[in-house]
Order: sequence, then C-alpha cells, then structure tokens
Amino acid sequence: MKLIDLIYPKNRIVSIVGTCKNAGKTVTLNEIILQAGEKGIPIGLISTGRDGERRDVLTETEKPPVFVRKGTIITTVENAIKPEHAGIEIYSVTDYNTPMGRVVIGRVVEDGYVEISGPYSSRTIKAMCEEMMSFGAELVLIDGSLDRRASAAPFVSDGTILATGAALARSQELVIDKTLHIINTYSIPQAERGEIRDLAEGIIEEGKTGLINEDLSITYVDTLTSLRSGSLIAQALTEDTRYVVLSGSATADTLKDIMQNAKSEITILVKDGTRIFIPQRELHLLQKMGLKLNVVDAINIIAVTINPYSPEGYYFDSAAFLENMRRAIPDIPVYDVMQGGNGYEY
Amino acid sequence: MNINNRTYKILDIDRVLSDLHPITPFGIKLKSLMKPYTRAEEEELKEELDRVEKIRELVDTQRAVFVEIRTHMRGIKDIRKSVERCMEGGVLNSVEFFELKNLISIMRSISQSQSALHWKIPEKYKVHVLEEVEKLLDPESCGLKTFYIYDCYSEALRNLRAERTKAEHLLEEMRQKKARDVESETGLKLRSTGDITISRNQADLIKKLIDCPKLQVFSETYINVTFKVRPDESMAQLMQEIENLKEKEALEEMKVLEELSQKVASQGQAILRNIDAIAHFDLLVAKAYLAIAMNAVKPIISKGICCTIKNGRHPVVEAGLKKKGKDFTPISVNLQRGVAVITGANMGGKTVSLKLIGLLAAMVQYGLFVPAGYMEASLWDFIFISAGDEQSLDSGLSTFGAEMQGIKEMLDMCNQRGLILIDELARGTNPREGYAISYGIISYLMEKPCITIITTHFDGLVREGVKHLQVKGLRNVDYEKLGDPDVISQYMDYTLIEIVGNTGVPKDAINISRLIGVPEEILKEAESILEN
Repeated sequence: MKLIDLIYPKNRIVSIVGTCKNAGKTVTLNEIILQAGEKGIPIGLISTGRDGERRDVLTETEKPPVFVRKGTIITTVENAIKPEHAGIEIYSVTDYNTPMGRVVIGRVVEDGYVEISGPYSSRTIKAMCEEMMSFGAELVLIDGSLDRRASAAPFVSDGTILATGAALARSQELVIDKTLHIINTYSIPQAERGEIRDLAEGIIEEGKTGLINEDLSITYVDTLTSLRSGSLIAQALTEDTRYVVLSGSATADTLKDIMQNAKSEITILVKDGTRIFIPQRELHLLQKMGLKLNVVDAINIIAVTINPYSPEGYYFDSAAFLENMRRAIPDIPVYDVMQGGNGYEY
Repeated sequence: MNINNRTYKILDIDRVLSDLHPITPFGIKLKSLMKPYTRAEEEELKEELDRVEKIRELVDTQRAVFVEIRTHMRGIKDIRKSVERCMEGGVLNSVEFFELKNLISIMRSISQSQSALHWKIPEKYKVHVLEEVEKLLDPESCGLKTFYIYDCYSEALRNLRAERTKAEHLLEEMRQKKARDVESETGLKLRSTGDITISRNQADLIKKLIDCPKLQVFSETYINVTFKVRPDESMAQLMQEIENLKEKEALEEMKVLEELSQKVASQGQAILRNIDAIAHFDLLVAKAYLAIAMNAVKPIISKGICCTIKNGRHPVVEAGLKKKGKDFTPISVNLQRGVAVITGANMGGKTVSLKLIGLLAAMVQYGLFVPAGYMEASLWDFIFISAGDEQSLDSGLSTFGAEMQGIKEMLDMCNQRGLILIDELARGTNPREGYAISYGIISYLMEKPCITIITTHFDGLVREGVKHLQVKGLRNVDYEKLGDPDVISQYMDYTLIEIVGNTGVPKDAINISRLIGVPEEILKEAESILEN
C-alpha cells in the first residue's frame, strides 16, 4: 500500500510534523505531493508560518524545495510571487503579515518550485485550509514547522504524518524510544464517556480549569494568574472530583501537584495530545503514581516516516532501522523516505 | 468653530465619536479628519443632517440593501498607496493588481446596491462602475476575482508560453521514452520522476547501472545510490531552450506589469474619486446607524441665539446607567442669549446637565443627530466648558488659578457667538471673593452674544436678567426613610425647573451629609449655626 492510499480519501487535511530538525519532513512532503500528483488528486499546501526553510541553510543540509504541479493550490507570501518563479494565479490576499509580506492563497499555473508559507495560529490555519478546499483542493497538506506541532491537533487536521529520523538521537534505540514517546503522547486515549468529553470541551472552550464531579457538576478553579496552577487545583480537589480538565498544557509539575493531592480516583483531561509536555521519565513516574490521562480529541497518526541519515555525519542501517521501527510500533505503518519509491510500499 | 482640548475632553466628544463606526478604511480615515461645521457652513450642515435623516429613513425601509452594502464594504482593503504609486509612474506587482481588481469588483457591487436605494444619490456619495479598469484587469471577461498575468496581455507572452509548454511536453515525452527504454533494458521499474534508488547491498546492480549509458548517478548516500535518466544531447538542448524561454517570459511579464500599471494610472483619478465616494457614503451611513442606536433626533438649526433641548439624554452617562439596569432622567432646557444659573442639591446632576448641553451642542456641529426628544440650537463660534476641579500641576497653578486661566481664555473669545458652561464658578477660593468674582463675570457675560450657564452654590447671583434653573433634587422626600446613601440617586429628581422670583439656593448639604453618615454632633452644630 502506498502512503497516499493511507492518506486519501479518508483524510482531507493532513499535517506533516517532524520529531526534530532534519527528520525528513520535507522529503516526506514532496513524496506525498508526488504520489498525489500521480493519482491526480488536486492538493493544497500550507505551512505553519515561521521562516523555517531559511533556518536549515544554517545547518548546511540540503533541504529540497517544494516542487508542485500545475493546478496546486498553495498558501505563500507576497514577496515569493515574482515573474521569475512558477506562475501563480492569486485567489486571495489575507490580512496575515509575515516578514516576507502578506500571506496569499493562489493556484500554481505551471509546474515548478514554490515557497510555501502560512499563518501562525492554528485557528487561522484551519480557516485557510478550508479556504483552499473551497478553491478546489481535495487534499490539503500542512507543513508543520518544528515549534508548531500544534498543527497535528485534531482541531486543525484530520490526520498526521510523523517524520522522525537519525537526527533525533545518536543510537537507533534512542531514536525509536523518543519517537515512541511522542507517539504515545499523541495516542493518549480519548475519554470514553461522550458526556464527559462534551463537558470538558465546554470548559476548554472557555479557557478555564474545571473539575467534573461525580454528579457531573463542574467546579471552576481560578488558575489564570498562577504559574503553579497545580497547587491551586490540588486545593480544590474533593472526594467527589472525578475529572480535572486543563485547558492549557499539561506539564509534569501540574500533574504531580494534582496526583499528590487526589482524594479519589481522578482522570486528567486535556484537549489533545499536542497539549501534553511531559518528559518520558516523568510520565512513567506519574503513571506509577496512578495517573490516568485522557484527551477530548484523539490524534490520528496516519503513518510514520523515517530518515536513517543525520546531517551530523552518522547514519543507521536503513533496513534494520525500518525493521526495528516497524516492530516498535506495530499499529502504525512506517516508511523509509530516503529509499525512494520502494520505501513506500508497505 | 473653536472647541479647546480641555472642553473636548470634558464633554466626552471622543466617546461619542468612538461609537461612530464607518466600515471601510476610507470611511475610517475620513472620520479621523472630521471637524465641526462652522457658522459659515450652516447650509452644508443642514444638507448633511438632511442626508443623515434620509439614510435613516432608508435603513428603516430598505434594511436589506444596507446589510448588502455593508457586507461589500467589509471586503475593502486600503490600497490607496498602490493607486497613488501607480499614478506617480510606479509599477504594481501581481498581488497589488489582485487587490485592485478586488476593490474594483466591490465598487461594482456597491454601485449596484446603491442604485436599488430609493434615493437620488448626490454625486459625492455615488460609487460608479469602473468598466475601463474592469476590462484592464479581466481582459478575458471571465468574471473571476483572481488575478494572473494573462496570456492575452501580450501576444509575445502568449507565444512564449505556448512555445515553452510545447517544449516541456516534448521533453517529457522524450524522458518517458528513455525511461521505458531503461526499464526494458534493465528490467527495473523507475519512478514517475524518472529516477530509481538502489541499495549499496546490490553492488552488482549498481555497477551495471553505472555502466548503463541511458542512466546517470543523481545522488549518493552512505547506503543508496539514486540514478536518473540521462538526458541525451537533444534533451539537453531542449532543456536549455526551456530555460531561455522562461527567462524571456519573465522579462515579458515584467513588461506587461509595467504597461498595465500605466493603463491603470490613466484611470487613477476615477479610482480615487470612487474611493472618496465610498468614504463619504460609509461615514454618512455610520452617522445614520449611530442616530438609530442612540434613538436620536435631527436637531433644528436656529438663526437666533438659543438652545432648546427637550428630554435630552447624555449618551455616555446613559450607556453607563443602562449597564446597571438604570434609566437616565432626561433633561430639558430652554435658553436664550444671556446668563442662566443652575442651583440645586449636591449630587443633583448639575454637572451632568451642563455637560449634556455642551455635548449635544457639539454633536450638532459635528453633523450628528442628538439623543433628545427635540433640539433647536444655534451654531456656535466656540463652545467652552470649565469644570472647575482641574488643577494644573505642570504650571503649578491651584484649582482656582487653573480655573481662572481657562475663564480668561474664554473671555478673550466672548465677543464671538459662544456657548459657555461653567461648573461651580470660583468654588476653589474663599466664598466672599468667589461670590464677588462670580458676580462680576456674570455681569460681563450678560452683554455678550453668548449663552452662559453657570452652576453655583452661592446665594445672590440670581438677579434681574439672569435665568434661574434649579434641580428639583430631594425635595418632597422624607429623609428619615432614605437611610442608605446608595439610594440617594434613586430618589433624586434631576429635572431642571425654571424658578421665577428670588428664592435662595436649596439647602440639601446637611441632609445629604447625614445620609452618608457624617457624625451627628457635627451636623447638629452646623444646623445651630445656620439658625443663628
């Protein structure tokens, strides 16, 4: 099965995020664009802002620019539309400003290399993905920059491709371990009861912290001004508390404060896996303390791509790396992007 | 028309103008340049008020059209700089042409909506359809809002593009053929991009492919070698040709942008005129919407020196009360040339009355409707208010010093027609002198072509030729029953009544102090002093 078949038509907005720099994210993106092109799927491209492309010049690795086919809908910036580049028919000029000018949506009128750009906020990205679909894109790909993994949030995209590779750590074992941690975080299960998800959704919408009690009543905790919100939540816990809903990020300190003061068996709820920032070791510790962590929206990881090369000069045996990664995550298809076409057969 | 900064601030003119919401950047800009009409512009002001009235009527009867127009207007971006640059000979880029095209298309929509209004729109407010510009930016008349350097802008461009497309197709065909040749020779399957990646484990195969003249090494890594179809000489030539064509195409596109910019520049005046019309129409509609929101009426401009307000409401105070679920008690006044003195209880809304008169008078001169049941007033050369309690720490002046400085500035102007509002004249100094100075100022102002309103607690300022207004205040209220000072405002009757004959200043100060809880022994002594 080819990567594109996993992606489309089940998913219409797909983000591609990397576990680190040089994880092969852009190679993956180009491969998906190519495969979509072969299938004749009209695509839209957007990236999550920030001038990430330029930064790679500093590490002196070759970063392939994005090559697109005629008809592709792209989000780019004003200053990237020049006669010497691929022709772009302008469809929409947004109010969103970047150092390279305003963000523009257009249709590529001839095959060629283009610069993909986009806004920073998830909400705006989502809106622009929908706008691109209204212009004819059937599949929108979000090039998620490293510091904006939030584009993987289910609120924004239907599914996510996670790109990982040798650049993440020195040894295969470590790379697999770290990747697995990210996947585990992203795969934290959804709260089972629908009414709990609805209540949590409401609390998160309002940007508040709330406790859901046994009788489904909600106790709000005013944590807006406090850095150590954990201790404030801890004070509010009662024997009736069943769920603690955090609208911001879940950090180890906060969760520790809550777990140590729990007076009953509680589950902690966050919006989705992109809101969880807990190092592996501490997550293990917390789980031993009895932590139950759930999300409101589950992230759909469509596939993992691996890059056996690190720009620092070391590399893994690609066949073994692929094999080991597949064994470590049996539920998610893994592809080696550096092997060209064959690496995509699964 | 002179309203000094202090008066502007005290009267809250800012706050009222901040409720005036034009939608387009052009309307917003025009609003920022709004100035009060002068007496010499009376006719223009009347016309403006008539137009606001007309629009308000139309909003009532044709609301849907306004919803439509306002929706169109929301899509407008400020591209005046591009238009101006273009008119100065600058070359616009594709994004700028896109935005211009968008604006021109919105202008058509507004123009069409405008023509649905039952109103013979004055030229200044009328948005035209700019067909010339439309044609320039949509040369193939496809009606799309997108922009691209279309083929039909230049025959040369069309030919270059056609030639390049042909060459690219040819190249692709040659590449495909080569790829198929390679596939049949090697038995391997190439990717659609014409490349293939082989693991170094297959050393023999790699060696074989390196020797294959139809392939070339494209990239190598530690474990893989990627081969690509090797272009033969004719393909290489074609590739070079395509590059050359692309270069020519880019040059031609720049030429097209330049020519297009010149053509648009020749229509620049028409575009700017339309922008101006949008600005004026936008602001006019905003005034009508403000009038509706404030439940305001069209003021009548009087030739003589007068200011009549029936059931006037202070829009800012009213909005504040509304939030607390309370109503504003309307105020009515009927003033002619000369001096009026307002006396009455503390907390009786004298200051609010004063500010209301000044604010409504200023609103008239800004061409706005006024929140009242009826208003007839003259136009003023100046409006002046002294709130009496500002200290000027910068210049080291006391309350009294600052007040007199303001009064002096006003007295310099008072041979012109003015509306003069003074809150508690001379209260910042000893009552004897304060009274005397007040007396003198009133005498002086009685002779001027102005309306002066002064609030005071001094007895004896009211005399022949001075109108006396009084806040009804807490009369007829049983103080024993009031109890809580917070409820004073509920029992306070803010109505201004005209007092004929000489009655003194009402004495509510002790009653109010008692309500607020000032110790009884102090108040008892105060009362005994008054009795003696």
